[in-house]
Amino acid sequence: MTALDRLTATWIITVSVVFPIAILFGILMRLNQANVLELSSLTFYSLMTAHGLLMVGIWFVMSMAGVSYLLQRYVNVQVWPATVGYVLTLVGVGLLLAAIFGGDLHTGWYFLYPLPFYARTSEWATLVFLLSLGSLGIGWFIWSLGLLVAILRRYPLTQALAWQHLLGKSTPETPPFILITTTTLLGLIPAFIAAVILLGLFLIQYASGATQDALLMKNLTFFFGHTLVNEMLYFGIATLYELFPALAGKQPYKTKPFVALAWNLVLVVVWTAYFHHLYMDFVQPTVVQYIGQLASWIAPIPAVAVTTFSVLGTVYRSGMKWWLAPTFFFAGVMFWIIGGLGAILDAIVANNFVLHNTLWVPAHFHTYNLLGNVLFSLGFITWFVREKSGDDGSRLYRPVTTLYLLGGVGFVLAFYIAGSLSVMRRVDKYPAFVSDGHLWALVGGLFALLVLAAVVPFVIYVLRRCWRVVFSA
Amino acid sequence: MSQGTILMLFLIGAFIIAAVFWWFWQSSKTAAPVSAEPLRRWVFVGLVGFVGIFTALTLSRMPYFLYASETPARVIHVVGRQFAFALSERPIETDGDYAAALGQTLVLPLGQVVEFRVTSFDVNHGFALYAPNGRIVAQVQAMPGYINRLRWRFDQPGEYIAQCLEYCGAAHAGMQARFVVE
Repeated sequence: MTALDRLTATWIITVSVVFPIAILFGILMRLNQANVLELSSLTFYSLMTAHGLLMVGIWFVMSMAGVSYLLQRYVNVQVWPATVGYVLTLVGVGLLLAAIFGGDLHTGWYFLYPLPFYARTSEWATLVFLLSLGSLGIGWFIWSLGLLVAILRRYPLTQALAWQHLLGKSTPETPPFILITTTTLLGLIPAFIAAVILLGLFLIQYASGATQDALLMKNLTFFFGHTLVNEMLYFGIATLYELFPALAGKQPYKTKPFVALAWNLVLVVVWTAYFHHLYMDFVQPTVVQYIGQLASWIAPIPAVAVTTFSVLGTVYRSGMKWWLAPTFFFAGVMFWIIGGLGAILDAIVANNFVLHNTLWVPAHFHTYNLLGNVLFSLGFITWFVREKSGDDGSRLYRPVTTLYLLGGVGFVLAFYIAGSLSVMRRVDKYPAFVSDGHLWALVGGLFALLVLAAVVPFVIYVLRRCWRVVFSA
Repeated sequence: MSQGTILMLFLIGAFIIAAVFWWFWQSSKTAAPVSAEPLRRWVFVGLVGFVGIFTALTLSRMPYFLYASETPARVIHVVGRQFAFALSERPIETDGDYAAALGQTLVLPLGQVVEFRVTSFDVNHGFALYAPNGRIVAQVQAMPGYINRLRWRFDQPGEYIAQCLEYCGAAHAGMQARFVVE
């Protein structure tokens, strides 16, 4: 086993342990909203903060870990940037949990300025929280930069972005995996810079009391948060491009001109789609709102059209063997598109006027995360486990896929229906005039239990095998 | 589009997507050398066309220009502060103004344009108007340092609830104000 094997297995173990705990936090929240449990408001919002940060954090790092591992097929990947990323992630998560559960931090995983200064959080917890975000940000930035440098040592930038294919040339060849990984890494850099500025402005106020412009801070927050989550999905897609054809017994995908065009477009469009988070800020310049809707609608076209077509074309009359990895990838693409449909319906300004901050929002982001991006990472994990242990988890195939998909669909459907009934998100208890909320919280919570029932045996299966990779001679 | 229409559109779309994937899944049980490559261009063109038409149809219905050519019958000043909204026909500029406006139940005219000038004295809040049937009819954010102007014409009489929709702290769920339309 190589150092990268061990590090990847360590990532998988870490993520696998945290995942069911973070699901449990979510279930507690839904059961509290259903009036089955009685949590205090502070406990509920602390759980909400932990659930969001842990879920975004673990699946971002897992998608990066998958890409880091597969990248060694093409370039010389150094282990130290990923190791720094791992250590700083652990430090960041440790500080974060201390702030949440020791200092009552309850601002939500993304928090709008100036909420941390007005919340009933211990003063030290706000500072520790900001430091923990700094630790995560620095760790991920170094890791991303390490991957980008590794790519650029082998491929000049124009080649990594497949511009020669854009011009119709077929050589030198840029694999789709390199193209997507490069556009994703480049896309992340401005997001990290925005996060640094944001944290700096928060720390200035923390130290001096100088207030900031709320609209600017909101733009920076969503530019960072939206871009991070979006790019996380694209890392998952890169993994899929690399592994799925082989899983179906087909030749690797090639970068055709429209594939190159699609991902180069994504690189730019992804930076402007975040404007849809500010539709209800009428003071935001109107032209920006138009750009927000256009970008939100244009952004999915290249990725969806190219990826879906490739995956369906690969599956069609393939005679392929379906086991955990290809099933996760295939279902992940389907729900990624379905979640995308929910998202672009909400990205129409006129619709957002009645859907903004209702349960329609967690409905669509859970669809393309829980049932999309997470499945891409689970696809990588099961592929990795089979590579290292030879066990494809066939005994788990039916129960895990059935429970996970059935539970996931019921869980998100409860969000969609409640969102269309104007039930609001991010509240611990529903006001009397949205009594529909209780029922759909109960339905969602029960279906989420099915997801947990699928995840627990899956995690045990993964942990046993990855443990051997970490401690093998 | 109403919330119910949006849900129906979503469910129909999701069903079609799931059916297509199911069909391809079934097809994978047999093996035959085929290429779907020639279709790709048409799928791409079709998607671009769909997005273009849908965008053109919806971009004109922006809430920023609602009733822009009309003179509002009433102007209501709204200030959010943890954890209540104060609504008043007079500007709310000081803590005293805010305290005086709290708890007032305004009566707003049915069928006439009302302009809400919405801001916050502390953190970001969401100012969402729930109709007597429990559905959101309009909303705007309340942001410190800025005034968002929302124009709306109420066509249903009864008691409306302004509910905070932007998470603003531990007692966020109970942040409301009430007014009557008649």
